[in-house]
Amino acid sequence: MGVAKEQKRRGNRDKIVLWGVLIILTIIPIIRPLGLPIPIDPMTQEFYNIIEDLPPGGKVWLGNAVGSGIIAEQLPGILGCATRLFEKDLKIVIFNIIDIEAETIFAQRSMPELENRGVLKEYGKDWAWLPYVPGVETALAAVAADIRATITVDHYGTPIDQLEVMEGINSVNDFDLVILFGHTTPFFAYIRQIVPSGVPFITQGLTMDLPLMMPYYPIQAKAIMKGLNGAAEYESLIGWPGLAISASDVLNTTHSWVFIAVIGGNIFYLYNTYVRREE
Amino acid sequence: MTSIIRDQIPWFIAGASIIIMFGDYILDPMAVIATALRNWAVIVAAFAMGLAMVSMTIFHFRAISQRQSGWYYSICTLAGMLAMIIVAFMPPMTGSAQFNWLYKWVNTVSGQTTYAALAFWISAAAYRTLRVRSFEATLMVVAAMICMFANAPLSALLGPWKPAASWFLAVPSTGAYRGIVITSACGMIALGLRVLLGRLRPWE
Amino acid sequence: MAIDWNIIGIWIGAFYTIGFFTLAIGVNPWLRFVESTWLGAVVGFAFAVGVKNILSLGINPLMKGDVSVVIALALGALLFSRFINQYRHFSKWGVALMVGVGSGLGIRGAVDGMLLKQIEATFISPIVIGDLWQSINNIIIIVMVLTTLSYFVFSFEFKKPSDILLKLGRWSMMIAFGAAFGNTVTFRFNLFIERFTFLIRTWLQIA
Repeated sequence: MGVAKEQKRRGNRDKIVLWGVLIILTIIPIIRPLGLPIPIDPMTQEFYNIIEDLPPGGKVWLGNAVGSGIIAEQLPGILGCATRLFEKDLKIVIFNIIDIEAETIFAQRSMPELENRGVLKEYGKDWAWLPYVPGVETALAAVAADIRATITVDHYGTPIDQLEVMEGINSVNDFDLVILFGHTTPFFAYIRQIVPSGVPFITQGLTMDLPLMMPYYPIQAKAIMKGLNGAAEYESLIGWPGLAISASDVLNTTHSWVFIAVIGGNIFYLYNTYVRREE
Repeated sequence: MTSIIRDQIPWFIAGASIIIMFGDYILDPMAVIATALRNWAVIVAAFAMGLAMVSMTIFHFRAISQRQSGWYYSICTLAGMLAMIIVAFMPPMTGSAQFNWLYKWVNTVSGQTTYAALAFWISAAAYRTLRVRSFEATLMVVAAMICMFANAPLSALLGPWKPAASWFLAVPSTGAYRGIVITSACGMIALGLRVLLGRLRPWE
Repeated sequence: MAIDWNIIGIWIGAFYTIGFFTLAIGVNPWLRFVESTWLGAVVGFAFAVGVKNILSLGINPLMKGDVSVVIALALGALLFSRFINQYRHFSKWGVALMVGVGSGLGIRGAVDGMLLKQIEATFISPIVIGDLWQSINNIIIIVMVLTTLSYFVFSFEFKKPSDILLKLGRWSMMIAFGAAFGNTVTFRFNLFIERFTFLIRTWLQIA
């Protein structure tokens, strides 16, 4: 009983030290940024190149599945990507399928920033914003096969037949590129329902989902931007520094601390297991 | 008659839907009925969102009326739900300034923080679990440490962490996960066939 | 005096953020309060979106003459029959439709997207002429795919020496899970950093 109590006390002490230092190492770089350079990953470069290679007038399906839980990782990416798409001469249709919160969050967080940046083109002529459709993969399959059978009005309530940008667009096959921002549920839904159409597909994955997404690269997903790091790299490529770049500094301190803690924990473990046992 | 309503009709609906969805893939004439079925499923899914509200209301009203443990938190839950419904129905629906304010400062913040708070537990888990207890555990520790540290931009200045992490993700991790993906694809197909044959009835 | 709702919103955001962070010290009334109100708000939002979609996908097309949606509206309404004991089995019809359509779409997507394409990606050109490193990588991937697959074969027992396949499969998966764990640490920290950035720069307005 005494041993268990001692172990619990030691565990709590370790947690307090671990979390205390973690909080301090998070706060310091937020207050005093370090400003270290950000090397560009080849996958981010590929993501960037695919968008840059789109022909003028190319049609882009921008899939928005960014819910509140993943804003921190995906919002900088979708902002950067949307900024670049608007800067180029493209026709963009924003689809809000899979995640129930995506449409609202895009309206509250992304649209004001895009307006601030002054990149938004003429609505209805150059871009359209379609509303959320319930049903996860079923909804995605329904929209991909026949947009007008499932979606009749846009985010603002305007019939989509009245939007010039939607002329000639009836299904996913009418697009030149499909881009997705979301986690694994929308990713796998797009792999199963969108990729078989043959339209090129690129995505930004969450950092934790990358191992699950890598098997689909490069045959099904032509490029996968790697989480917040990828977003920071993309921001520096397009020349719009934002939320992702500012978070990079804190990653250095927090990751270094966890690295040291794990190494230290293993040294103590090996010492207790092999050296102290012999004594 | 009850057995037909309870067991046979749902099975028929599910089985026919599976056959039509698969048939649409290989037979063009099935496209019209498949499109209709997909759209019907989308409409039914919209109704399912109301189910959660009704279930939750019944549950919490019962907790309050029976003064169960923590019943005052049930009042908070119902108050939050009512507040959101009121502002969401203000015109334009889910677009009013009041709705945007409440959604931004309660829903979005809470959603973000729920996931963010797990950083405490993941760091504690990393400290306690990543121990070199055996050869297999060592493989896991090495892969975890390389991939984790490579995500810090600083690692690019301290050696080949990023190329090593890229290799781990592109080769061994991809190999193992590809095996897992193929296995889960077989599982998904088997699950669908079980639903088709009536051996599995998720609607029960 | 005009009320600055943005400032009030920031303070409420900070209240909810710190409330959820108190999870680190254990369950407490602050956490329970923010949790309960958030849960209610989420369900209320889902209900509002559901009503909006029923109007746009069901009622509006019906008003315009599309009679076929009556079936979907009826099946959807029948979902609520689960709350009346006598008629609860009618609610299964709508669920069966969603399960059937979802399963059918899942099967065809799994066959093409997950099974055939993954097998194609694994065995395509294992030997790359002139690129030894890529050839080695391709062979490692093939070995790891096969050994991982063998790990999930439960129909017969692997006896020595073929149990080396199981060992290799286990090692492959440990490397994959290690990589996943390392990336998960980064993902949680990214979210954590964003929340602290909000608290320090937006709420406290330091830096």
